[in-house]
Amino acid sequence: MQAGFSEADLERRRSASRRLAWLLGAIVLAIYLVGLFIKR
Amino acid sequence: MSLATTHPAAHPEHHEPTGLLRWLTTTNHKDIGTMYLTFSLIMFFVGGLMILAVRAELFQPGLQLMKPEFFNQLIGVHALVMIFAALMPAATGFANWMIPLMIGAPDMALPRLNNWGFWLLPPAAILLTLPFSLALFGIGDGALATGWTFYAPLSVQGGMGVDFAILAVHILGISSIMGSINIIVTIFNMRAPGMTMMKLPLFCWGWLITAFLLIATLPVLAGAVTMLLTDRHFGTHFFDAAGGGDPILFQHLFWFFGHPEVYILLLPVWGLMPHVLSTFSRKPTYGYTAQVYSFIAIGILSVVVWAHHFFTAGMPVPALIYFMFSTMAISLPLAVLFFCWIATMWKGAMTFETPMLFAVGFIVLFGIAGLTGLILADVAADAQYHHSYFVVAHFHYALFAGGIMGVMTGVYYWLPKWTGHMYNETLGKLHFWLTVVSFNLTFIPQFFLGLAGMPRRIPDYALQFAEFNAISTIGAFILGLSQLLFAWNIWSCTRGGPKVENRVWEGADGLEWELSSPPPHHSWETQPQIK
Amino acid sequence: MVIVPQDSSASRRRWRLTLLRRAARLAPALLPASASAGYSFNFPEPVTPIARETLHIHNEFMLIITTLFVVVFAIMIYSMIRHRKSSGHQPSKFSGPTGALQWFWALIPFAILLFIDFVLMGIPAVQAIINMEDTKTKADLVLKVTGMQWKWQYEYPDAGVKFISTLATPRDQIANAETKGEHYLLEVDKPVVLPVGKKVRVLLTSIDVIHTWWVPQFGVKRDAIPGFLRETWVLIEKPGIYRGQCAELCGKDHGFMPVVVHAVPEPEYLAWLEAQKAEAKAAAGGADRTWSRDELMAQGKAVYEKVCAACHQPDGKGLPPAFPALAGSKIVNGPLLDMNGKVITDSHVDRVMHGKAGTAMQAFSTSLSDVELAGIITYERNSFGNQMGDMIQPAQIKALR
Repeated sequence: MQAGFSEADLERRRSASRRLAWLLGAIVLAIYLVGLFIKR
Repeated sequence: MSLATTHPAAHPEHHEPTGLLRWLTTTNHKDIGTMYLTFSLIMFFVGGLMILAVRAELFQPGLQLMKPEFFNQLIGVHALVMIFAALMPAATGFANWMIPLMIGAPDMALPRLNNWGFWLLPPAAILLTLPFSLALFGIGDGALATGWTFYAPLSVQGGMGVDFAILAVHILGISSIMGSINIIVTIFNMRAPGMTMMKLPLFCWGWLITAFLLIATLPVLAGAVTMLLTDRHFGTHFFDAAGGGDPILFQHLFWFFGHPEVYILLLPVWGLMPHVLSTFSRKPTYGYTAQVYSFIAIGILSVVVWAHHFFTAGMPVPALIYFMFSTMAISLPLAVLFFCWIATMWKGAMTFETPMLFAVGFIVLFGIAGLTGLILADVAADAQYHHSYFVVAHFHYALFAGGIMGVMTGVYYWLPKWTGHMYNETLGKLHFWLTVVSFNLTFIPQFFLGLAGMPRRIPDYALQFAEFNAISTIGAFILGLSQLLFAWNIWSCTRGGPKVENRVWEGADGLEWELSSPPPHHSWETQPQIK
Repeated sequence: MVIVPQDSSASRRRWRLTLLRRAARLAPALLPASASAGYSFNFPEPVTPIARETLHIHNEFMLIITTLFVVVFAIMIYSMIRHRKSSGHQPSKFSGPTGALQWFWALIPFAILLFIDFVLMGIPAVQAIINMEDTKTKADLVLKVTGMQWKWQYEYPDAGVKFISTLATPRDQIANAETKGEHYLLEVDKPVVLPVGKKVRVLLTSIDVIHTWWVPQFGVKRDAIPGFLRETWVLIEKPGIYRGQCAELCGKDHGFMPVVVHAVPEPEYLAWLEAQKAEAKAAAGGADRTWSRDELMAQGKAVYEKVCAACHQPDGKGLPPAFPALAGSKIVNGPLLDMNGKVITDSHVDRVMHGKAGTAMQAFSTSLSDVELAGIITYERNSFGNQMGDMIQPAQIKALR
């Protein structure tokens, strides 16, 4: 087994994660707002 | 509760808190997983007690124990508790514990978000159940009495219990969304080098699809209950025909979430099954790729079938035909899963420890759920089944025999890994048999009650329904009591028991089985080798 | 005679328990499905073409899924017996189909299911749906059903007949203070009467929340939605009394609003209809004369107990906060009408006639006659400790509509 994830590697993965998380959160909010305007 | 994870004091440079503060502030995926699972077990008993009270009332015709208003509260809160406070947190607990271990990651990608996601749950649970206690003091008239489906206009009429439930649902939704975002970004970004998506364990695939379904559909539920709140208090008319709105709009919005929700409850379990079956058959998982594509197909299909929950509300014939066929289509990827489960067992070298017993029981009983679901999809026959006890039996086969027994499979399978001790196997087997027999005793009569014409959500019934109701109640009480064996087994396993190896089960395969039992406080400090 | 594998006592026990479990599940299906009250295993006897078609489809589908279940799990159980470590079986290593034959075995179940779903089940289902939704072709009469909390109102628009149908089971039976009658919870004061052999187009709506009208022997279940009109149809083939219930949770007495339909030969139906018309005329004539205080109180008490007591309680104390008390109520003890004899907003008369939006208090002017409304209002103002001393005439109610 190699040494653990390097700090740099972890940091890159974590900021990628944060970016994706914000994007997903924005999508959630958008769906919520769209849902409020649906009429039959 | 003391899980035997490596004591934080072994890492003096961390200065980690102990006691209550440890649990409040932890960002460790194993601790958070433990909290989810503990919360889930407690709420399972809370929801169970509620329904035992209901079944006690239904033991005989006539009203013996409670007023109809209270009965209506119990059935609705029972469902909300079981779905949102027992099943979903259990699955989330599994995800938190196992996903980082399975993909070779040191923790979830967003550990603080993880902590917040859990700690939203206890307040939400309190909000759901608080109206009961308030009513005892004469404040308000109890918890929501509309059933967990909150249909307007009944829910517009209801007392403050509905407002509490709306708030609780918002909070539970936010918690699930946080968890789902965390799971998606973790699976995408935190896999150890060499773990490609098509090497991802099936449990992770199941949860990946689940997480996407959650973030796609929970906002719609949140929107629907927000619109309900404004109809109730702020003069809007979304669901009020007199004001230009439409009560059926609520049903569309609710079930747009509601149908995917049942697959949200089941996908993690379907992801877990191959692991268990492969382990106890000592054979590789059959049809990995087929199962991945089935999960995806079921996920996509689940979002376009929602109206089968209200075929009797009156919709145009083309809509009825479309929703019938699209619903039936789900049976195809589901059949693929059943095929792969059985093919995994075929020509293996099986042993039947408790996890395997639960897995086999799951396959058989969930098979009944799927097959009765197929006939429910038929619009013509549904006129007789809809809102009758036939439906109640069907979804309990899906959610108890499927969801809850699936969770029990996972608990028995992974408890030794989490605690480092083997649970009591005899007690486990006894729990299994008692559960399966009493479960069938409880719900098979309910299929026949539905066929005979008994509607749902009634506290009292005509005399011809008496015998089957009595049998069902007896089954329910045995079922409830049997779960005490489960709780006891878990409790004593965490306290001690025969020590287990890293590879707890002879046929187990996967990164999680390379770590110690229990795993070290920091998972995967050394990177794993992916084969 | 089943051969029990001899390898270990544990597995023998398991096999016996499996057998027991399966037998227990099958047993009820094997018992004769009639004699003993309460053990029924299928839909009740169908009396309409739709119900017969539904029963047929159900039976067919149950056969299909039972076959699927037995076949698939026979294979699985076979595997559980043969492919065991304890019997020395060595595990194979395959993880997918290899070779054409295995692909065939893998894809065949899929193809069979596709056929079952979309052809075997799907095609008859589509036919049945189209039939079920065809409400207008050759309809002989119209029945309008209005759901209310917690009773049904029936209307025969062509004949101008309208009445409410309420649960007739005494509350004492529900409270276990009296033995329950044979049709406990499935009996009403005024059943629907329909002619046999005629296609009845049923229109449904509601004045408060969603209810669902269901008569199992008709094979008919349709939602009654406030503000909308839904439809279905029945053609009853056999005279008899058919009972059903509300099938959508609609509040506290959801379980206590049954549907009872008397299907009779057409001449009998027509005679009944004439009798109803005459009764309606007599009731409407109530506004043609002056009623005495005692007459109004008696009338009011009868209607109050049938219609209002469910929520406001027989003693007028209500179930606050959802159902306010009438005893000592500010509204009940307020003014009857304004100086010009018109309705005051949020007054007693306003409440009873027009209901309160957003609550279970419905507008009773749509379902009660002038005499009934006048009776209730008078009764409430002079009972439960209220001593207003005034009364209101049916003629006044008629003028206020």
